[in-house]
Amino acid sequence: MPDLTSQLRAMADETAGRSRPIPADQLIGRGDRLRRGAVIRRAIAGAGAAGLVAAAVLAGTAGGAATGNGAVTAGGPASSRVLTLTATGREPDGTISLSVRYRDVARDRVKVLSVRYSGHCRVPASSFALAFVVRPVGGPTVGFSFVTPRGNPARFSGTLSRRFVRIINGKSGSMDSGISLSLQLDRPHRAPHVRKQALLTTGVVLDSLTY
Amino acid sequence: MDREEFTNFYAAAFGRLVGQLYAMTGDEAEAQDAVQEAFIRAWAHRSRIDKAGAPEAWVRVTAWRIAASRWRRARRGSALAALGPRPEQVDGPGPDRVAFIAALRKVPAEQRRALVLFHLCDLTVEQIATETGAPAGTVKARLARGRAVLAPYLTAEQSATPAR
Repeated sequence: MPDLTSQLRAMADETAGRSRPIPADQLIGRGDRLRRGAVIRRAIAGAGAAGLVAAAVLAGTAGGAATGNGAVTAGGPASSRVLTLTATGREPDGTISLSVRYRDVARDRVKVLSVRYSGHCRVPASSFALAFVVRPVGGPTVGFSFVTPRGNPARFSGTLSRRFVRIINGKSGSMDSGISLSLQLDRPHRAPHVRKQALLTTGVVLDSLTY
Repeated sequence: MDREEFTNFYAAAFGRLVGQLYAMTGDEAEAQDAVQEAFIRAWAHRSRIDKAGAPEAWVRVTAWRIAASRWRRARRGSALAALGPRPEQVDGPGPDRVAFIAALRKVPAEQRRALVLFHLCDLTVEQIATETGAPAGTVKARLARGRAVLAPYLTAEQSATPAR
Protein backbone atom coordinates (compact mmCIF):
# COMPACT_ATOMS: atom_id res chain seq x y z
CA MET A 1 0.00 0.00 0.00
CA PRO A 2 1.52 3.39 -0.96
CA ASP A 3 2.33 5.90 1.75
CA LEU A 4 0.25 8.95 2.50
CA THR A 5 2.54 11.42 0.76
CA SER A 6 2.60 9.51 -2.51
CA GLN A 7 -1.16 8.86 -2.31
CA LEU A 8 -1.85 12.54 -1.84
CA ARG A 9 0.61 13.56 -4.53
CA ALA A 10 -0.86 11.15 -7.05
CA MET A 11 -4.36 12.35 -6.28
CA ALA A 12 -3.37 16.02 -6.46
CA ASP A 13 -1.40 15.53 -9.68
CA GLU A 14 -4.33 13.83 -11.35
CA THR A 15 -6.62 16.64 -10.28
CA ALA A 16 -4.12 19.28 -11.41
CA GLY A 17 -3.95 17.63 -14.81
CA ARG A 18 -7.71 17.78 -15.16
CA SER A 19 -8.03 21.38 -13.99
CA ARG A 20 -9.40 23.82 -16.55
CA PRO A 21 -8.41 27.36 -15.62
CA ILE A 22 -10.28 30.18 -17.26
CA PRO A 23 -8.09 32.35 -19.54
CA ALA A 24 -5.84 34.74 -17.62
CA ASP A 25 -7.32 37.79 -19.37
CA GLN A 26 -10.80 36.80 -18.27
CA LEU A 27 -9.64 36.20 -14.72
CA ILE A 28 -7.81 39.54 -14.60
CA GLY A 29 -10.89 41.28 -15.94
CA ARG A 30 -12.97 39.78 -13.15
CA GLY A 31 -10.33 40.84 -10.64
CA ASP A 32 -10.45 44.39 -11.98
CA ARG A 33 -14.23 44.45 -11.67
CA LEU A 34 -13.98 43.10 -8.14
CA ARG A 35 -11.53 45.84 -7.23
CA ARG A 36 -13.69 48.56 -8.78
CA GLY A 37 -16.73 47.20 -6.99
CA ALA A 38 -14.91 47.32 -3.66
CA VAL A 39 -13.79 50.90 -4.26
CA ILE A 40 -17.31 51.93 -5.26
CA ARG A 41 -18.76 50.35 -2.12
CA ARG A 42 -16.21 52.18 0.02
CA ALA A 43 -16.90 55.39 -1.85
CA ILE A 44 -20.64 55.09 -1.39
CA ALA A 45 -20.17 54.29 2.29
CA GLY A 46 -17.96 57.35 2.69
CA ALA A 47 -20.17 59.55 0.61
CA GLY A 48 -23.25 58.50 2.54
CA ALA A 49 -21.66 59.63 5.78
CA ALA A 50 -21.14 63.05 4.28
CA GLY A 51 -24.63 63.25 2.88
CA LEU A 52 -23.51 62.67 -0.64
CA VAL A 53 -25.56 60.22 -2.59
CA ALA A 54 -23.62 59.65 -5.75
CA ALA A 55 -20.09 58.55 -6.21
CA ALA A 56 -18.58 56.74 -9.10
CA VAL A 57 -15.26 55.18 -9.64
CA LEU A 58 -14.31 54.48 -13.13
CA ALA A 59 -11.37 52.71 -14.48
CA GLY A 60 -10.69 51.50 -17.95
CA THR A 61 -8.14 50.74 -20.54
CA ALA A 62 -6.23 53.08 -22.77
CA GLY A 63 -8.40 54.37 -25.54
CA GLY A 64 -11.48 54.92 -23.45
CA ALA A 65 -14.22 52.96 -21.85
CA ALA A 66 -17.58 53.78 -20.41
CA THR A 67 -19.11 52.45 -17.25
CA GLY A 68 -22.24 53.44 -15.41
CA ASN A 69 -22.86 57.16 -15.52
CA GLY A 70 -19.34 58.22 -16.43
CA ALA A 71 -16.30 57.47 -18.50
CA VAL A 72 -12.57 57.49 -18.34
CA THR A 73 -10.07 58.07 -21.09
CA ALA A 74 -6.39 57.40 -20.79
CA GLY A 75 -3.38 58.18 -22.90
CA GLY A 76 0.38 58.24 -22.68
CA PRO A 77 2.86 55.69 -21.36
CA ALA A 78 1.52 53.26 -18.76
CA SER A 79 4.03 54.49 -16.18
CA SER A 80 2.61 58.02 -16.17
CA ARG A 81 -0.70 58.28 -17.90
CA VAL A 82 -3.02 61.23 -18.00
CA LEU A 83 -6.57 60.15 -17.37
CA THR A 84 -9.79 62.07 -17.60
CA LEU A 85 -12.47 60.82 -15.31
CA THR A 86 -16.03 62.05 -15.68
CA ALA A 87 -19.15 61.36 -13.71
CA THR A 88 -22.65 62.67 -14.17
CA GLY A 89 -25.42 62.80 -11.63
CA ARG A 90 -28.92 62.93 -13.06
CA GLU A 91 -31.86 63.88 -10.92
CA PRO A 92 -35.36 65.10 -11.70
CA ASP A 93 -34.12 68.55 -10.72
CA GLY A 94 -31.34 68.56 -13.29
CA THR A 95 -27.92 67.24 -14.18
CA ILE A 96 -24.46 67.81 -12.76
CA SER A 97 -21.19 66.65 -14.29
CA LEU A 98 -17.70 66.51 -12.90
CA SER A 99 -14.63 65.93 -15.03
CA VAL A 100 -11.25 65.39 -13.40
CA ARG A 101 -8.05 65.22 -15.38
CA TYR A 102 -5.25 63.60 -13.44
CA ARG A 103 -1.90 61.97 -13.91
CA ASP A 104 -1.24 58.47 -12.72
CA VAL A 105 2.24 59.29 -11.39
CA ALA A 106 3.10 56.05 -9.59
CA ARG A 107 1.60 53.09 -7.87
CA ASP A 108 -1.14 54.41 -5.61
CA ARG A 109 -0.19 58.04 -6.34
CA VAL A 110 -2.13 60.43 -8.51
CA LYS A 111 -1.80 64.11 -9.32
CA VAL A 112 -4.84 66.17 -10.16
CA LEU A 113 -4.28 68.41 -13.18
CA SER A 114 -7.63 70.10 -13.63
CA VAL A 115 -11.23 69.86 -12.55
CA ARG A 116 -14.17 70.97 -14.68
CA TYR A 117 -17.83 70.98 -13.83
CA SER A 118 -21.06 71.70 -15.65
CA GLY A 119 -24.75 71.10 -15.39
CA HIS A 120 -28.18 72.56 -15.29
CA CYS A 121 -30.85 72.85 -12.66
CA ARG A 122 -34.59 73.19 -13.13
CA VAL A 123 -35.26 74.40 -9.60
CA PRO A 124 -36.06 78.11 -9.78
CA ALA A 125 -33.58 80.22 -7.81
CA SER A 126 -31.67 83.43 -8.29
CA SER A 127 -28.30 81.77 -7.58
CA PHE A 128 -26.72 78.48 -6.64
CA ALA A 129 -23.64 77.34 -4.80
CA LEU A 130 -21.39 74.49 -5.75
CA ALA A 131 -19.64 72.63 -2.95
CA PHE A 132 -16.56 70.69 -3.92
CA VAL A 133 -15.46 68.15 -1.31
CA VAL A 134 -12.22 66.15 -1.19
CA ARG A 135 -11.93 63.14 1.07
CA PRO A 136 -10.19 59.78 1.16
CA VAL A 137 -12.69 57.02 0.52
CA GLY A 138 -14.32 56.28 3.83
CA GLY A 139 -12.27 59.00 5.52
CA PRO A 140 -12.85 62.52 6.75
CA THR A 141 -13.08 65.57 4.52
CA VAL A 142 -9.63 66.94 3.82
CA GLY A 143 -10.62 69.93 1.72
CA PHE A 144 -13.56 71.75 0.27
CA SER A 145 -14.26 74.70 -1.92
CA PHE A 146 -17.38 76.68 -2.74
CA VAL A 147 -18.06 78.20 -6.08
CA THR A 148 -20.91 80.45 -7.04
CA PRO A 149 -21.68 79.93 -10.72
CA ARG A 150 -22.00 83.20 -12.61
CA GLY A 151 -24.45 84.03 -15.33
CA ASN A 152 -27.57 81.99 -15.82
CA PRO A 153 -28.02 79.97 -12.61
CA ALA A 154 -29.99 77.32 -14.46
CA ARG A 155 -26.96 76.42 -16.54
CA PHE A 156 -23.51 76.45 -15.07
CA SER A 157 -20.02 75.36 -16.03
CA GLY A 158 -16.50 76.23 -15.01
CA THR A 159 -13.11 75.11 -13.84
CA LEU A 160 -11.86 74.78 -10.32
CA SER A 161 -9.12 77.26 -9.43
CA ARG A 162 -5.50 76.20 -9.83
CA ARG A 163 -4.92 77.20 -6.26
CA PHE A 164 -7.43 74.67 -5.00
CA VAL A 165 -6.00 72.02 -7.30
CA ARG A 166 -2.57 72.69 -5.76
CA ILE A 167 -4.09 72.32 -2.30
CA ILE A 168 -5.64 68.99 -3.28
CA ASN A 169 -2.29 67.67 -4.46
CA GLY A 170 -0.56 68.78 -1.28
CA LYS A 171 3.03 69.76 -0.73
CA SER A 172 4.38 66.63 -2.42
CA GLY A 173 2.52 67.51 -5.62
CA SER A 174 0.57 64.26 -5.66
CA MET A 175 -1.77 62.36 -3.38
CA ASP A 176 -2.72 58.83 -2.52
CA SER A 177 -5.06 57.19 -4.98
CA GLY A 178 -8.50 56.24 -3.78
CA ILE A 179 -9.42 59.80 -2.90
CA SER A 180 -12.93 60.89 -3.73
CA LEU A 181 -13.84 64.20 -5.26
CA SER A 182 -17.49 65.08 -5.03
CA LEU A 183 -19.51 68.01 -6.19
CA GLN A 184 -22.92 69.08 -5.10
CA LEU A 185 -25.20 71.89 -6.09
CA ASP A 186 -27.37 73.74 -3.67
CA ARG A 187 -28.95 77.06 -2.98
CA PRO A 188 -26.41 79.29 -1.24
CA HIS A 189 -25.86 78.40 2.37
CA ARG A 190 -23.16 78.60 4.93
CA ALA A 191 -20.74 75.73 4.62
CA PRO A 192 -22.02 73.45 7.39
CA HIS A 193 -25.54 73.43 6.01
CA VAL A 194 -24.82 72.91 2.35
CA ARG A 195 -24.57 69.15 2.48
CA LYS A 196 -27.96 68.72 4.04
CA GLN A 197 -29.81 70.41 1.22
CA ALA A 198 -27.99 69.31 -1.90
CA LEU A 199 -30.05 69.42 -5.05
CA LEU A 200 -27.64 67.55 -7.27
CA THR A 201 -24.60 65.48 -6.44
CA THR A 202 -21.96 63.52 -8.25
CA GLY A 203 -18.47 62.28 -7.50
CA VAL A 204 -15.47 60.34 -8.70
CA VAL A 205 -12.78 58.30 -7.03
CA LEU A 206 -9.31 58.78 -8.41
CA ASP A 207 -7.74 55.38 -8.70
CA SER A 208 -4.21 54.69 -9.81
CA LEU A 209 -4.12 52.38 -12.81
CA THR A 210 -0.37 51.91 -12.62
CA TYR A 211 0.81 48.66 -11.12
CA MET B 1 3.28 42.01 -9.38
CA ASP B 2 2.50 43.21 -12.88
CA ARG B 3 0.11 41.63 -15.36
CA GLU B 4 2.72 39.40 -16.99
CA GLU B 5 4.09 38.16 -13.67
CA PHE B 6 0.60 37.44 -12.46
CA THR B 7 -0.29 35.59 -15.65
CA ASN B 8 2.81 33.42 -15.31
CA PHE B 9 2.08 32.80 -11.65
CA TYR B 10 -1.52 31.87 -12.49
CA ALA B 11 -0.44 29.47 -15.23
CA ALA B 12 2.19 27.81 -13.06
CA ALA B 13 0.29 27.53 -9.80
CA PHE B 14 -3.36 27.00 -10.75
CA GLY B 15 -3.26 23.25 -11.30
CA ARG B 16 -1.03 22.64 -8.30
CA LEU B 17 -3.34 24.62 -6.02
CA VAL B 18 -6.44 22.88 -7.37
CA GLY B 19 -4.79 19.56 -6.53
CA GLN B 20 -3.99 20.73 -3.02
CA LEU B 21 -7.46 22.13 -2.47
CA TYR B 22 -9.03 18.96 -3.78
CA ALA B 23 -7.05 16.96 -1.26
CA MET B 24 -8.22 19.34 1.44
CA THR B 25 -11.86 19.56 0.43
CA GLY B 26 -12.57 16.26 -1.30
CA ASP B 27 -14.59 18.06 -3.98
CA GLU B 28 -12.84 18.65 -7.28
CA ALA B 29 -15.30 21.13 -8.76
CA GLU B 30 -15.44 23.04 -5.51
CA ALA B 31 -11.64 23.10 -5.33
CA GLN B 32 -11.38 24.49 -8.85
CA ASP B 33 -14.01 27.15 -8.17
CA ALA B 34 -12.40 28.18 -4.90
CA VAL B 35 -8.93 28.45 -6.41
CA GLN B 36 -10.25 30.41 -9.35
CA GLU B 37 -12.08 32.80 -7.06
CA ALA B 38 -8.95 33.13 -4.94
CA PHE B 39 -6.90 34.08 -8.00
CA ILE B 40 -9.48 36.71 -8.93
CA ARG B 41 -9.13 38.17 -5.44
CA ALA B 42 -5.36 37.88 -5.69
CA TRP B 43 -5.34 40.08 -8.78
CA ALA B 44 -7.74 42.53 -7.19
CA HIS B 45 -5.53 42.78 -4.09
CA ARG B 46 -2.15 42.25 -5.69
CA SER B 47 -0.55 45.18 -3.89
CA ARG B 48 -1.42 43.46 -0.61
CA ILE B 49 0.14 40.23 -1.85
CA ASP B 50 3.27 42.06 -2.92
CA LYS B 51 3.66 43.34 0.62
CA ALA B 52 2.95 39.97 2.23
CA GLY B 53 5.11 37.91 -0.16
CA ALA B 54 4.45 34.20 -0.74
CA PRO B 55 1.61 34.67 -3.26
CA GLU B 56 0.95 30.95 -3.58
CA ALA B 57 0.37 30.61 0.14
CA TRP B 58 -1.93 33.65 0.00
CA VAL B 59 -4.02 32.09 -2.78
CA ARG B 60 -4.11 28.73 -0.98
CA VAL B 61 -5.29 30.28 2.28
CA THR B 62 -7.87 32.39 0.45
CA ALA B 63 -9.13 29.41 -1.54
CA TRP B 64 -9.44 27.39 1.66
CA ARG B 65 -11.45 30.16 3.29
CA ILE B 66 -13.69 30.44 0.25
CA ALA B 67 -14.29 26.69 0.28
CA ALA B 68 -14.91 26.66 4.04
CA SER B 69 -17.29 29.59 3.69
CA ARG B 70 -19.22 27.70 1.01
CA TRP B 71 -19.50 24.67 3.22
CA ARG B 72 -21.08 26.81 5.86
CA ARG B 73 -23.49 28.31 3.35
CA ALA B 74 -24.24 24.89 1.93
CA ARG B 75 -25.04 23.62 5.38
CA ARG B 76 -27.56 26.43 5.70
CA GLY B 77 -29.17 25.25 2.50
CA SER B 78 -28.00 28.00 0.16
CA ALA B 79 -27.39 27.12 -3.44
CA LEU B 80 -23.79 27.12 -4.54
CA ALA B 81 -22.96 29.42 -7.36
CA ALA B 82 -21.23 27.86 -10.33
CA LEU B 83 -18.44 30.31 -11.10
CA GLY B 84 -16.38 28.59 -13.72
CA PRO B 85 -16.02 25.66 -16.03
CA ARG B 86 -16.61 22.32 -14.41
CA PRO B 87 -14.19 19.48 -15.08
CA GLU B 88 -15.08 17.38 -18.06
CA GLN B 89 -16.00 13.75 -17.74
CA VAL B 90 -12.91 11.72 -16.86
CA ASP B 91 -11.96 8.13 -16.24
CA GLY B 92 -12.78 6.95 -12.75
CA PRO B 93 -10.04 6.28 -10.20
CA GLY B 94 -8.91 2.78 -9.27
CA PRO B 95 -10.28 0.85 -6.25
CA ASP B 96 -7.34 1.82 -4.03
CA ARG B 97 -7.79 5.47 -4.85
CA VAL B 98 -11.52 5.30 -4.22
CA ALA B 99 -10.89 3.69 -0.84
CA PHE B 100 -8.26 6.29 0.00
CA ILE B 101 -10.50 9.20 -1.00
CA ALA B 102 -13.34 7.72 1.00
CA ALA B 103 -11.05 7.46 4.00
CA LEU B 104 -9.75 10.97 3.49
CA ARG B 105 -13.28 12.29 3.54
CA LYS B 106 -13.74 10.79 6.98
CA VAL B 107 -10.93 12.97 8.30
CA PRO B 108 -12.24 16.25 9.79
CA ALA B 109 -11.54 19.26 7.58
CA GLU B 110 -8.85 20.94 9.69
CA GLN B 111 -7.00 17.64 10.17
CA ARG B 112 -7.18 17.01 6.44
CA ARG B 113 -5.88 20.48 5.77
CA ALA B 114 -2.93 19.88 8.10
CA LEU B 115 -2.17 16.56 6.41
CA VAL B 116 -2.22 18.12 2.97
CA LEU B 117 -0.04 21.06 3.99
CA PHE B 118 2.46 18.71 5.63
CA HIS B 119 2.59 15.89 3.11
CA LEU B 120 1.66 17.60 -0.13
CA CYS B 121 2.84 21.18 0.29
CA ASP B 122 5.95 20.17 2.24
CA LEU B 123 5.37 22.74 4.95
CA THR B 124 6.86 22.31 8.40
CA VAL B 125 4.67 22.18 11.48
CA GLU B 126 5.62 25.78 12.25
CA GLN B 127 4.73 26.89 8.74
CA ILE B 128 1.41 25.09 8.95
CA ALA B 129 0.78 26.78 12.26
CA THR B 130 1.43 30.14 10.64
CA GLU B 131 -0.78 29.42 7.64
CA THR B 132 -3.68 27.99 9.61
CA GLY B 133 -3.42 30.29 12.62
CA ALA B 134 -3.32 27.34 15.00
CA PRO B 135 -0.61 26.64 17.62
CA ALA B 136 2.11 24.17 16.64
CA GLY B 137 0.88 21.68 19.23
CA THR B 138 -2.58 21.74 17.71
CA VAL B 139 -1.11 21.14 14.28
CA LYS B 140 0.80 18.12 15.56
CA ALA B 141 -2.34 16.80 17.18
CA ARG B 142 -4.30 17.25 13.96
CA LEU B 143 -1.63 15.44 11.99
CA ALA B 144 -1.60 12.56 14.45
CA ARG B 145 -5.37 12.25 14.53
CA GLY B 146 -5.64 12.52 10.77
CA ARG B 147 -3.06 9.79 10.34
CA ALA B 148 -4.88 7.63 12.83
CA VAL B 149 -8.01 7.77 10.69
CA LEU B 150 -5.99 6.95 7.60
CA ALA B 151 -3.85 4.32 9.30
CA PRO B 152 -5.44 1.37 7.47
CA TYR B 153 -4.32 2.93 4.19
CA LEU B 154 -0.79 3.89 5.19
CA THR B 155 2.50 2.09 5.43
CA ALA B 156 4.11 1.74 8.85
CA GLU B 157 6.64 4.57 8.54
CA GLN B 158 3.92 7.15 7.93
CA SER B 159 2.44 6.82 11.40
CA ALA B 160 5.56 8.29 13.03
CA THR B 161 5.43 11.70 14.69
CA PRO B 162 6.36 14.51 12.30
CA ALA B 163 10.09 15.29 12.49
CA ARG B 164 9.97 18.61 10.61
